[in-house]
Amino acid sequence: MSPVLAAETNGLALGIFAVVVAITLAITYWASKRTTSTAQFWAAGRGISGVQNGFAIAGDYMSAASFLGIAGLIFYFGFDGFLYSVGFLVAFLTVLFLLAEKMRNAGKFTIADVLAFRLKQTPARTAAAIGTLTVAAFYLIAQMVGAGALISALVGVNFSVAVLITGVFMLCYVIFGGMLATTWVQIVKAVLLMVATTVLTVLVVIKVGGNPLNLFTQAREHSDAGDAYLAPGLKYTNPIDTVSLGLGLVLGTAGLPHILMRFFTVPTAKAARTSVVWAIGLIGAFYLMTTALGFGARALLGGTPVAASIDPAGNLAAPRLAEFIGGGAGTVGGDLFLAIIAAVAFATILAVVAGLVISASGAMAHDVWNGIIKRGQATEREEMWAGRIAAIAVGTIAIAIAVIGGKGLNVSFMVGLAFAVAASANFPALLLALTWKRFNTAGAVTGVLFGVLSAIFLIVVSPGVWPGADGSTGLNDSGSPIGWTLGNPGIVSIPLGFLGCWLGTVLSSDRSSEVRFSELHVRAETGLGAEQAAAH
Amino acid sequence: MSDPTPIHDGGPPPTVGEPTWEQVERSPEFRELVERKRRWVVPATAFFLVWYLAFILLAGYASDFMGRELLVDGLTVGYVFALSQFVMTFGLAIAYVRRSRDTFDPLREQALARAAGTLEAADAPADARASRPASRRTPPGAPTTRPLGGAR
Repeated sequence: MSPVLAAETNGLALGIFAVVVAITLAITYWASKRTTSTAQFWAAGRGISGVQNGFAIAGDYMSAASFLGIAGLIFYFGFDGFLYSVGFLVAFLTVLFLLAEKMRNAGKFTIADVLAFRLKQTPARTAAAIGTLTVAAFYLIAQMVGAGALISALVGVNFSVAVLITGVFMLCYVIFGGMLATTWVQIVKAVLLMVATTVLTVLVVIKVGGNPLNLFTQAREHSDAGDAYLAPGLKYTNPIDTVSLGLGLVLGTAGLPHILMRFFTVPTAKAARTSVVWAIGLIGAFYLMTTALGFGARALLGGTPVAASIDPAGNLAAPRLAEFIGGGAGTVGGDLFLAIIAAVAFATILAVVAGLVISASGAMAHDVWNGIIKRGQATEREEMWAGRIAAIAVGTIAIAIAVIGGKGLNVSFMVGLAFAVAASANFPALLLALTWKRFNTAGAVTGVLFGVLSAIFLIVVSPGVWPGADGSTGLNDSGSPIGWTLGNPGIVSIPLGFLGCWLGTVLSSDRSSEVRFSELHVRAETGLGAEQAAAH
Repeated sequence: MSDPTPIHDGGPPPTVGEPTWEQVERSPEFRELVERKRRWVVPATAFFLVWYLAFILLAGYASDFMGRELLVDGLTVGYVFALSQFVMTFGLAIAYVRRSRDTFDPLREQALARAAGTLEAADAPADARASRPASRRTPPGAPTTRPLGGAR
């Protein structure tokens, strides 16, 4: 077992990386020929089928953090690592029941289009843009830092170089191929990820004796925690914080702009519904398998010298497991498996960051620049160019922050913030705009501000940012300046977001938003007057 | 209450006899669609939130119970509970799709037929009916999608 990866592994991994990149660039070239209108650039001409969109949603959603991070959490903390997976999956019921079809019918390209349908354009679009950009920016920076750390660990290239490479390809897809290229990169990634995870899971189950239950018993044997490894409590020791995390996950997904934007790429609300069901199937199967990988890594690697080479975050648990299954470090099979996992992780990151960049670019170019500054008067050509420039701006800022901040940036802080803002600001405003007739502009603005500010404030004072004297973030030894002990703000900030929406609405005498509620209501439920698919 | 908005909002003025958005919203077909959907979606949402929160609360407050062995060695109550969340998610998603296909979609067709002014057209292809009002209010030569939002 070598502490750093052997030189030939680098070559093999880079070779497979090159194949992945070549496929995605070919997709981008093909997509660039078809991206000639804003409907193409932001929504892939609404020509993506329900099944395709299901794969794309899965590709957009399953980040490297959920692929490698959850396997690592389970490797270290057993059962508690599984809590994230459950929340990430159940969250799609919120999307399916409350938003997917209505969003498709009511919207055009962005969350703001739905929010601004019957509210005053400038404040509604500003509020939606604040929510979208906060979520997309923090999520993007977190993904870029994760990408840098992961690729440098797996392939041996420098952290900054890894971030730069990721950033350049991400911008290529979005700038040249728009949503069409982004969609197909996500579909390809979802297929690669599902195939690789399935093969690895089957091999792991065979390795532990063919009975999946052996994963648990053997993992327990190789864990210092013993029986506690299969019970909750190793990682999350504060029950209120656990509930807060769960709420943030289950409602946050329904406020993620890059996921919601995908519903504008399908021709009908029925296709939007189909796509969520496919996404649920893929994502559910995937999370079940990552669990097997996490327990498998514990069962097969726990207590061996290999386990010592797994980083504290656990991201290397799945790659080391793949290497072990392939025959071990230094063997041809081991190197090949490690290289494949590294390439799949790379594809995973690229698909997620491209989705984030196009959603941020939509908020800046379609909502702020055209919707607010140009009052909707910009030509399609101008809006597409604004979108490209916005993508470059967002991408460059994210790359710069990731490179300057380096590995020291707190990734879980940023992901937590993204989900908290999505659940506390975007989700309440969208849900009420679609369902509550009285809801008005003041309510949307107050709700988004309450949600964004309370989530940011509670995370800034959280023990994750202010670790106790011994570096722990536990219940009683938080170094938080106001003695705040919750790492996840959801349980406070989500109700505050809804409260802000309600307060702003009832304190304002503005009833103008009710005039077009009937139109929005009929349109959202029936699709009458909804945006049609572009002719190809 | 608001003034009735013509269904041709943003396009040419309505022809005589065309229903407004408010009239479609008040039509029995549309009201039944909304009511039937609410009667399914609200309890289903409440159920999955309660089932999920029960899981999270037990994970937080009853780790001993969740760590207890269930039936076979290695399988804990907590893990079975977690798996039940997966089963619930798959099950509710499939149930929703079936209910939509069997109940909501036909009601939607009827509401659309009402909006098009002719309930008798209920057996015409869905796509043709859905797009008719949109295309009728679009000036010739204009894109089939009307600018939403920014221009208003």
